[in-house]
Amino acid sequence: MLDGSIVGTYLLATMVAGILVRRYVARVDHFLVAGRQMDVYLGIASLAATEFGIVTCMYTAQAGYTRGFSGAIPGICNAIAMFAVGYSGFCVKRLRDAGVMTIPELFEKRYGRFVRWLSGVVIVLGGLLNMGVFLRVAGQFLVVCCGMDLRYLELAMTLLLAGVAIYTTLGGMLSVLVTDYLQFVVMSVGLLVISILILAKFGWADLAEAVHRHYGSGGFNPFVARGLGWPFVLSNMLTNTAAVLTWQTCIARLLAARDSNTGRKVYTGTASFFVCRWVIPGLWGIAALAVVRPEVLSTIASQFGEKDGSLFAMPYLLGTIVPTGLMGLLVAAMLAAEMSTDSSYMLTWAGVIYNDIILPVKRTAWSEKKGVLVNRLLVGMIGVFLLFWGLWYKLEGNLWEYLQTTGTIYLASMSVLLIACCYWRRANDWGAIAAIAVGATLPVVALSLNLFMKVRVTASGQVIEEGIVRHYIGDHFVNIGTYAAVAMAMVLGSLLKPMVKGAGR
Amino acid sequence: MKGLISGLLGHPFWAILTIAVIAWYGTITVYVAIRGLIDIVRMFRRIGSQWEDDQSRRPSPTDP
Repeated sequence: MLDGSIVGTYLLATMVAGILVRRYVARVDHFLVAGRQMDVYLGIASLAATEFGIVTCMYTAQAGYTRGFSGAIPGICNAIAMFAVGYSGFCVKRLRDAGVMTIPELFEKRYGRFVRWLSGVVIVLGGLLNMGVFLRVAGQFLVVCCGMDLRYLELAMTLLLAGVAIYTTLGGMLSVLVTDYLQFVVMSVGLLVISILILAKFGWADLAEAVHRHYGSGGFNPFVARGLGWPFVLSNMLTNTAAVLTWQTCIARLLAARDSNTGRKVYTGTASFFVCRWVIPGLWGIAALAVVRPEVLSTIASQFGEKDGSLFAMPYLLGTIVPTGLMGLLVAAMLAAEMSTDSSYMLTWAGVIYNDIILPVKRTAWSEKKGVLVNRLLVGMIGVFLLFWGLWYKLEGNLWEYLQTTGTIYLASMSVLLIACCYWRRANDWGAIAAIAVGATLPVVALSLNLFMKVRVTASGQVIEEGIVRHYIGDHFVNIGTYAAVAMAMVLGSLLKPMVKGAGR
Repeated sequence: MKGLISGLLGHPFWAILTIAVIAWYGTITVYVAIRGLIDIVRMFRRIGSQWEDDQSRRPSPTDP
């Protein structure tokens, strides 16, 4: 009863706040970039909330469970990249100063309209594949952690998504910023309280001992860990730098900021939260490593039709140790995390569909009112997609690696295009098109081969099937290789195009 | 306390990072939350005045 009241109050407050701001939405730029009126601290709260969803909590905890402290390395890479880009203004200053609403809009100025449109397509493809698993993973967390009946999973997630879709379609970025702020507060309290509970219950020494027992020194040092090493660190450094430069939810905050200085301060101020978002759930995952038996996780995984049970270690642990009252706070915090993520993802990707896929091929201009209406419809349609994709896609292997691979579909090419657009005069549309083609093809081929071609391997005395690319090449090398190939394609393509006399800037 | 000291001696990087993260969420988050609320109020004040400006610039139906 107490838990339900906490969750209910939070959900009601969020919906009311989200819906109340709809009257301020008069133009497309209000809907997509909050009229460019966002200040530093609201930006930090919003970005920190958006980039921490239940899915984040699940994959970072899974990393803690399967890799010990070394699993938190992506968070450190992310924070370093975020701080460095914010501090130096690398690319982001020019991007914000250009006054565009999306990255592809900037590309049109250098590479032409077709590249803008093509960039929009790959951004949407990569983003939708990436966010497609969010809802399913969030539902699994609620079932395992709170013991929610599996029969009601789809209904509960549909209602949650419908609520998020209502305030996002009505208020756009303004609703997202206000609800993100509320969600940031609730989420932070929940994360802090549960972390203290875990540390008090298990103690630092027991957690470190569990990591040492399972992974040896590789649990503390990624460079000596089996299956990680320098490719893991380099791959994460590349992905996280590219994400900081081009991930829609990050860029949307930069472009909603009042000016480029505000945007840069949002970046430097949020950097530390990116370490927190890996270390805190990672610690929960390590606590699960100390006490949860693998047989229990196999049973839970088979209940969902999944092969890997490590994803469920953290929610199972929380379900057994969090007392009444705190469970309500935990669920409210996790719902807050999920809602802020879903709303922002739906809005920012709808913005790309509108601004870079629909607008470039339209012959006549739309009024501001019609533009806002189209954006609202697009947000609703992405919500429907999330619902259906999330319900039938079955995840294999490590969740973070899936997100990294699907994200790379556009992260690799868009980051290379952005850097070249800002700093290389010779960059042109030939190079851009070649980079986009290579960047989208390699990860999709790797994903497809992993899905349809398997090899049998023996791990921990059990025979399991593994994707052929994952087995022979490895996800980290696929990722690094994609970035290298994309950069090469950009350089070669640009150099191959004959220079037109008098062209260039 | 004993566990914390042994942690700091055994794996100082991760022990310090864990303490820093918990301390960060316990302190800086409160500051960001307070300043964020002020930002929200200011943002809507500015958008509200923008909206009023837009309305006043719009030609009235009786204008020639």
